[in-house]
Amino acid sequence: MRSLPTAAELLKIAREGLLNELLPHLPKEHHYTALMAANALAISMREIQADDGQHKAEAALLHELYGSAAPDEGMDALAGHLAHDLRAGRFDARLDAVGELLLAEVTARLRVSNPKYLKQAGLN
Amino acid sequence: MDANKETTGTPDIAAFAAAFLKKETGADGVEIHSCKRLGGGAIQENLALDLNVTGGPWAGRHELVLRTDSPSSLAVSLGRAEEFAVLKAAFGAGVKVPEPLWLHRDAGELGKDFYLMRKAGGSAAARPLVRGDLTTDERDALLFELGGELAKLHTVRPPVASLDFLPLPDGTPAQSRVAEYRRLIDAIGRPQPTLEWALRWLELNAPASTETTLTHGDFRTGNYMVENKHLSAVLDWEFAGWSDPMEDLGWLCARCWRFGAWEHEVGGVGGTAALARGYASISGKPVDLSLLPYWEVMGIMRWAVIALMQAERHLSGEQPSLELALTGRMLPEIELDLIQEIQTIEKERARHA
Repeated sequence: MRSLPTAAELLKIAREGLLNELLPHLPKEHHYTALMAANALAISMREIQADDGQHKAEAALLHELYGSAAPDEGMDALAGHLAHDLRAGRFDARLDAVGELLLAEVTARLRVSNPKYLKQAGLN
Repeated sequence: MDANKETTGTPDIAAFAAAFLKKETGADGVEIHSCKRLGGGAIQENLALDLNVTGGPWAGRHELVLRTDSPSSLAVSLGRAEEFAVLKAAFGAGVKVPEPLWLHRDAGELGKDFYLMRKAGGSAAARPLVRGDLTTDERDALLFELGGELAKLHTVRPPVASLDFLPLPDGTPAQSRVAEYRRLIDAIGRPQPTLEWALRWLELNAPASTETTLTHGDFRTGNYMVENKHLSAVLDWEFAGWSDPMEDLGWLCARCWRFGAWEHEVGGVGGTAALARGYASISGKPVDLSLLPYWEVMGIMRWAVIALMQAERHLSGEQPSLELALTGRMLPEIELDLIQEIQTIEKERARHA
């Protein structure tokens, strides 16, 4: 049975308490740390709630570059291999296309770590 | 206690510096009125000293900055004695820097080197320049000055005996950087496909270098002081080295150093035309701005590697820190900058093909 409130709800209410109740009482020199803590909570909240966008982007990239040789474990398992192949020039003939695939993967990660940045960059 | 006497810094260092100065200047006495820690500098510790010298050629009141190492440092940055030598070379070339005065080379007395320089006026804060009240003309005037200072610095060329500790690039400066960043990524040991993709692009598109000069290595908004809307001093010389002069311009203009004001290519302050005019006014030849986008990508790559190294200090357990931890989560932003800026260059190239 699932415990309530969920982790995401706990992070959300903890963040609101930090920003609305604690921050106004903190001396200025501690505001930066409090805002960083609020940001860490927001990232964690988004990560817990994230859809499978990052998994899909990774799968598309690996499938496109390695076909059926791509393992199911996703990017973490193949990152070293891909990094090595890129450095060795194996994808030189289609660097543009690889860039597009990497862009989708980075975009998915940014949706978690900083969605505002995506917006500024004209992506969503 | 005298109301002026404020010792919020490190009294041990202040007392040590007073004794050091007394000896160096042949003074009868040195009295420290205040010693305050200055902000900024994750790597260095800067103390503002307000002091009075009695007797000797330096008799009088002086405002100085003492710069020393803080507990954590990056392996890629210079030590204080080396930085002092670079500062002297830049000062000698006429660059607006805080005048370097005395170097203490430690032989165990204090436990670390330090040097003293004159305190520069103004503020290095980036936000007022990026979001502040400068008019377009005032922005252009400031950028003209920045360009001129870089051009003066870039007149210093190897070999320079006092800078013989700075390694020369292995191959062209661009090739040398690509190799250096690969080494640093390998040393961390976490594969970085996006960074490898961008490094390969940087390798394939490396310009044939035309020259190698003294470069600042961290010349960006936030590292220069502005007083009454004009440049008063260039700070933070610990990343100086021999490189392609365009690397300094690329770093200054890279998207990651515009503080969100992406429309203002030069450090979030304004456009490249005024910077290039200022540079040419000293160098006597036009800046080849067609090389700038490449070096902006190289600058973003540099920032990616530095961010990785900072995050690793947290991840490895060496220095648990919320700020360093969040730097790790900034990496996707830097990766996005790399991909988009390379794509822009490629699109532009295809349009002209």
